[in-house]
Amino acid sequence: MLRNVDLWTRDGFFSTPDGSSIYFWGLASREDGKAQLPGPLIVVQQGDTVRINLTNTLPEATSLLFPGQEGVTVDDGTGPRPVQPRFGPGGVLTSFTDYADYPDNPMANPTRVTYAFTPENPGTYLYWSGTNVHRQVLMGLHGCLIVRPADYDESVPARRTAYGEGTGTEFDREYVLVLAEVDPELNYNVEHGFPYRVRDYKPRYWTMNGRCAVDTMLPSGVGYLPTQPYGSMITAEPGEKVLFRYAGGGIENHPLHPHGNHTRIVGLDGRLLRNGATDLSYKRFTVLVGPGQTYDQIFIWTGLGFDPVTHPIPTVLPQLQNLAVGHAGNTLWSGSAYLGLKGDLPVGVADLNDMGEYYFMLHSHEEVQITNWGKYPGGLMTMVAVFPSGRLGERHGRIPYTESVPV
Amino acid sequence: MVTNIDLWAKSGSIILPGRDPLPFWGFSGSAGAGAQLPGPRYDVMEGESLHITLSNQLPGTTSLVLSGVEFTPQPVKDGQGRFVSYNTEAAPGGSAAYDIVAARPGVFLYQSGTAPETQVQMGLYGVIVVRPLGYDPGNPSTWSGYGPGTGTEFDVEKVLVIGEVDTAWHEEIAGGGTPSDYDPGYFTLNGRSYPATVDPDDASSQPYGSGMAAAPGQRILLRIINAGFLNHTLSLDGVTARVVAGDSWPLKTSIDTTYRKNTITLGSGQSYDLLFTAPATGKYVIYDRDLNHVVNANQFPGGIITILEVT
Repeated sequence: MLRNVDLWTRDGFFSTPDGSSIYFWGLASREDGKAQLPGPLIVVQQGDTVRINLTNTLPEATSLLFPGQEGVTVDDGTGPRPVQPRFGPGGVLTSFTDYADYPDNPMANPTRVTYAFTPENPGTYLYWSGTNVHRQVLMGLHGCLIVRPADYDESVPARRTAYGEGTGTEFDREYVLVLAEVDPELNYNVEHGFPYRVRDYKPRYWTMNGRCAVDTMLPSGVGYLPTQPYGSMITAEPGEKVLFRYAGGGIENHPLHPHGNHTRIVGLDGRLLRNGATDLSYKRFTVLVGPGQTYDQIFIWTGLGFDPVTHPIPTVLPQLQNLAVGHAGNTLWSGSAYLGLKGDLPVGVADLNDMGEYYFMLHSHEEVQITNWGKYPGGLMTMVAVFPSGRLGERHGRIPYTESVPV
Repeated sequence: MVTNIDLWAKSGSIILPGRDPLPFWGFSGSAGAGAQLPGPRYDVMEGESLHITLSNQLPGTTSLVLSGVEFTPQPVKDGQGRFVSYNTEAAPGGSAAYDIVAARPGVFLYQSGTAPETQVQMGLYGVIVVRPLGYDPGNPSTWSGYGPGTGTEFDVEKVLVIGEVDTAWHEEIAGGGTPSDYDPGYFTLNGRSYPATVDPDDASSQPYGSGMAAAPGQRILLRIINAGFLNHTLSLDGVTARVVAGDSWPLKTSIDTTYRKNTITLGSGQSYDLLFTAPATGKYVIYDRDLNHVVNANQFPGGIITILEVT
């Protein structure tokens, strides 16, 4: 199947919960659309012919790399050929791959290029700029690419998998977390044409799907975050298989863990952890998300002693720090030890709990990364919400796969 | 049989793109040769006994340790009982000897064990490659990283030693000072920063190139080891490799725990062996995905970038 994905580079501003509005370079999925951070999530299927049409509107050349894909070609109007790094005078690298030039370049190279590839392996991938990478990737030119297995069928549980039927990667819901970091002063320098000095790099914000906590917990597509369309709130029901797709879009390491829970890593960089009959998947509490790398994990919440037959509810009260966001006046705690029930809360406490669901935090344990310019809470933090069985609804955590560029 | 390896620790100068020669300390393999970055690469056989003599021509004491090779270190304390060296020291103008057994195949760092936070940064590091039993350099059918059954047979091999250079540290240490606030502006593969990384091997103080050439279909064993102080993340553009060894322990033994990876992070002292098949003809960029490391003192492109040319 042919999948055409149209992307436009564009500049814009994104918001942080502490009131900053930060200049960035991003990708838009419509010609009249806004740049977004991270770039549009691209969902394709193993064996598809994927064509990425990139149009550049930035003041310098740009390009896209598709790490983990082999045999990528480019067409700048003269027919497809394998992508190649570009070299300037003296044979020095100017771009890691073929690029779309900037408008009004007197050299008059095309401002639109088409990359094409056929993904051979299902899994989670990143894409990022291959031009002036030291600046463009951190400015926001990166995003996530999901490749569905060839036998993927959302309506058949055995085929709703990350890596194909029989690979042990079935899931009920799935969530993508693209991680990055921002030094607002370097972004400011790009905005105003000042030098971009990587040695001055000092990130103040850490982004999960382009947002800093607590905005991470807002729904996808909220109108007041027009350039940051993706939420990071994870919702599931007890016993469900939840696919976490972590992706390191920035340049730092980010040690993520869900409080009090574990995940099973089933794939790295879009490759199933299995050799023949040997299952190489493994459990982790903290997953160190390295730059440019992806981690596919299956998470199953079974509660504290939860057993659907003999012990259907958790009875041990979670720790208070797992229940509150920010000051203790707001709580996600239901007030009850019983999933699906709400209890009394102290007078003056604002109740953010919907139906007795149970929340726990998923965050970077490098605690400076859960601040917004030094203030906790912020940065790489979201919540996992476990809803009473049968109450969450099917649409949560289902990423449309028929569209190339959802949202 | 005992193999003698003679090393000299000396001062010298290195060239980094766009700046004047920089003082460094490095190892040389003969009395007459200059110091080099990284130190001379040695190829030895699994099981070989090595008698390493280190002659010190630096202004202060130095010593040698081998990471990942089992030996009994002889820690050194000063007159007040403070720990000053991981291993027996060679005084300025003097020498020290170390006996080790290259007990298992792989790629191992040798480096200074005295004030390593300054001496290793000054350049006192190098690599010993230990060949598995049966390896014959003249017979390509015997070439493998770890011997039969480990899935590490190769046609082309490349060792990439990652490092960093803080030029202010180098100048301060060479002047007898004690630096702080490590903030490297240069990032190196085999002692060079791009574009010098893709230059061929030469007789300079940075003799090892990092460019690679192969024919389509050839098996390439990329042996990456991090001699720096920072994490580095190598990303292979257009290639997905199989991780066949970590810290010189092969991942395929009684079970095959090798795995595929496109981008891999190495902490200080860590090594990975990556195996992949050379793809279609063309050039392929290999670079540090910590994109602050692909510059030379803020200038892109530079640092940890090299190129595989498939022809």
